[in-house]
Amino acid sequence: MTIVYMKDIVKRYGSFRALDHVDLEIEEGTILGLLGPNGAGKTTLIHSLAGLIKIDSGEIYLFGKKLNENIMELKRQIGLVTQEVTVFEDLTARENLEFFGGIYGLRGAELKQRVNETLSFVGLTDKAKSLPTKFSGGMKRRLNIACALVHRPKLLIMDEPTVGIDPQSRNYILDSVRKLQQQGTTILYTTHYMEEVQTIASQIAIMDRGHVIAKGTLDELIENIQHEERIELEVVNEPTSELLVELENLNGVKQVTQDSKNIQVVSSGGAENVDNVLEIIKKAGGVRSVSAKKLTLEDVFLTLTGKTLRDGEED
Amino acid sequence: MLLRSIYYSLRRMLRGYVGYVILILLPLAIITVNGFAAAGDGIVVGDEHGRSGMEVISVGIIIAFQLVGGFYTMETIKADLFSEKRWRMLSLPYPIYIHAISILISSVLFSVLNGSIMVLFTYWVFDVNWGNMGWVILVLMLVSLVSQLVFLIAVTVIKRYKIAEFIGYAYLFLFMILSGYLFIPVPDIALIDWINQYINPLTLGETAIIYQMQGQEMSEVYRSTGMLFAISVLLIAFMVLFGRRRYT
Repeated sequence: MTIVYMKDIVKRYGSFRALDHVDLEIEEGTILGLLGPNGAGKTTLIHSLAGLIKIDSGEIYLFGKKLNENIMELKRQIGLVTQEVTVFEDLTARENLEFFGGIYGLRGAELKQRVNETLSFVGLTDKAKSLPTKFSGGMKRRLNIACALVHRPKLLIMDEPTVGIDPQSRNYILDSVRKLQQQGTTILYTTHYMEEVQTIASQIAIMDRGHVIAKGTLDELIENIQHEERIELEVVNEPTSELLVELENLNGVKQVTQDSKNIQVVSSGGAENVDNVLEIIKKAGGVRSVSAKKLTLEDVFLTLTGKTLRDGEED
Repeated sequence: MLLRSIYYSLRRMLRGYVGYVILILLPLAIITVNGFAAAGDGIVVGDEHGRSGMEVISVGIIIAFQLVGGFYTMETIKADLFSEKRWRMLSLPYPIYIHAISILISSVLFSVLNGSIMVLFTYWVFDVNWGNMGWVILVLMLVSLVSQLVFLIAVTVIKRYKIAEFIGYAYLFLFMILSGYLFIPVPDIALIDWINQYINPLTLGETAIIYQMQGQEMSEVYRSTGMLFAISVLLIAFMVLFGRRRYT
């Protein structure tokens, strides 16, 4: 069942189109990892989906209902984990959850039970009576997540929930996300950490310049860019410009990059240039090592957007 | 939902210990130092009501700090609705104006609580005779409400927070100057008399408390209190009409 259906979404800020005819669907029970460089439109997409900003055109349906016509009802089924920690610093962990749970209509014994369960889920039971000002960065992040979980949302939107925390807390959060998926929660997860998406996402969407430029499983995305062949070599002598030009002139070569004695040759799929490249390098002094690189999500991202993800800190 | 929200907002304010210093300890220090200095031989020269220096200073300072309390609304609105936290607040199934109203009401209660503590302190320690305490608290509440509304309007109508903050300070100092509390000479002109009689929450609050303390000219007490109430209603109407920026 399709939980999220976004069709032809446009959102402008002045003349800048943050979302430019975006289409996106999320199936029930999946984790959709949303990747994109700086200014790609990820946060705008999340804010549109959560009903926080008004879109200029297009349609958003959540759980089969039009968002702008059922906004309060639909907000009850969404949990938003914000990029920044947005808990009340002068309320204890328990009071924060009681406040947010109360806003979602939980009362009495049910509220108490959900608060206890959620504190336990994020590993903060023993800190229930402490103020977040006394928490570490990782604990604050976990409380930030807990505030979005206390009402058990069907759709959880997580906007870079692991920024700036230690590896232990990150693993804890990633495990929690997996558990939530197993419990049936649908999750939209944005991050700058590719390895997180590779680890947890069942589907991946890549955004750039306000468009969703690719969507699919990791294998599907890699398959789409398999039309490229990459050869990485370490050579004995410092490569000359003539050597690099010779490599560039090989049939099917799209790009040659060099860093000291390391050379990377990218050719069109099927060019089968390994022998040709080795022959040229041997004449120029020899090869120390050679590898044909297995494609990763990083390669997919780089191929599709022309940028490395680390260029794109903060959307 | 409003009551729940007020409860948690108030709880947050009660944990802001810096607030106690600013809204209780500071005014009490001012009252203590200036009250004793002004008391001299018991009667302040120039006070037409024949009040002691301690009474003059206590009433003025406690009401003036109800005006200062307006910054609570402004700062809390800024922290909750104009920072990154606004995205979480906007994601809740909860009209955001209810949150703003809950902050306003909590700030009034917090400010009045602080004012009441000072009233009781001056009553027990400095023998200030406040008359009907219930009436004093009602007046403090109205002065605080006017002030919180002014700050709420400033922060929700004006786009730039710094300008809203400046307007808050301007409101505070203007009315304190017009009341004669900052030792700046005020020209004796009809316009200023009119402002002090019908608009200035500091002088209106002062009048409503002083005459009540002395049990005389109760019509002035009711008129001043009524004016504070009327100003509150007008500000609420203005707030509803114009105070809705930046929420989406």
